[in-house]
Amino acid sequence: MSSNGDVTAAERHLHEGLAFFGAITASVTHELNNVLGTVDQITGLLEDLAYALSQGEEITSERLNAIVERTNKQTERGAALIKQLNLFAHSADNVVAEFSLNDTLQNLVALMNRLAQMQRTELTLTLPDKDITIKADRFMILQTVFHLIKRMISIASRDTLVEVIVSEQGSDISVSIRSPYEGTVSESFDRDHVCSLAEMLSGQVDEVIDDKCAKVEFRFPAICEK
Amino acid sequence: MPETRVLIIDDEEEFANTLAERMRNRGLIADTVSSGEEAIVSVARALYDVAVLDLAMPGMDGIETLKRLLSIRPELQVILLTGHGTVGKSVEAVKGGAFEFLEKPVKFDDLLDKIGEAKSKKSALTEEKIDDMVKEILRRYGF
Repeated sequence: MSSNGDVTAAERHLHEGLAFFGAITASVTHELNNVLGTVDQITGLLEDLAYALSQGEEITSERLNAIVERTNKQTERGAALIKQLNLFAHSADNVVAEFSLNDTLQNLVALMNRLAQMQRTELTLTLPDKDITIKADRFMILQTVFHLIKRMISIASRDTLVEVIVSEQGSDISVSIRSPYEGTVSESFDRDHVCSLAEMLSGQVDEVIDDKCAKVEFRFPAICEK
Repeated sequence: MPETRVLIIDDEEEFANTLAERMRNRGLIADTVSSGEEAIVSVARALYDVAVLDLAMPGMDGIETLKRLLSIRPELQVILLTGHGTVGKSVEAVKGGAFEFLEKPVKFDDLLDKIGEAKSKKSALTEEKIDDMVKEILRRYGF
């Protein structure tokens, strides 16, 4: 904090970064809680069946196998969530690193799908055919794209797709996010913060909203060592 | 709890279906829907004693669903299921007419206990309503 008690820009960025980390973690742990809750009920169902069996009721192997299959599905779902969260957690390991943008954004979109579903939208990701490797601050790129996707999710019409399209534009990368739009623009979007993140990556953010479609583009150099 | 009719409202379909299966094994009549919008249709069509409602759902959230359900069936008893981050919201929901809230992952026996209590409350309210109607008829026709 500065001597006059104001929050400095560096402190604000630190706080915003932690808030982003927290938002992703809260969303994934909520979903993991749902997985555990479901497994808990399936286990309870098995207990019920074991009791029924002890009372002479007939339980078929097909019924038991179906329950095993249901448990397996939840285990796979939980394992996928943990893998996604783990990959995300490592995004803050280095300030600047060489990494696959395709893998990184694929993971972010998977992590944000629950947030999208809560707003009754669905996220799609279109990547170029070849993998894009970039050298930059991965965490800051994720943070910027997260805010832009969240922005588009919040203003998208219900039951529509929010499309994330990644392309190479010479030595630059373009991440554009678009969605059908027919409502009002959310006021919770902190444009200054997102633009300052983009600037720190030597990039820029442009937004176009008309009466049918909203589109935002984040453009940044593939190599940004700051 | 014979003839207790329960509607489970949760977008986690596997969770809702398993819960319903277990309730049916215990003699309850249990149906499931996966959204607030579907719940409103179901509650308008059929009489339920208790609704078990997930607070965090896509589209119409639990609070809005609660309000709409109670406007259709004021005597319906609603038990909310909440995540860790929504306990504050649940307290507000109870003030707004929900019977009780339970935190996920919920223990099945705890939920059954609450359903039993909610059913008793609903029965008492229904009896009260019938008494009032009988008194009104008697008053109107001078018996």
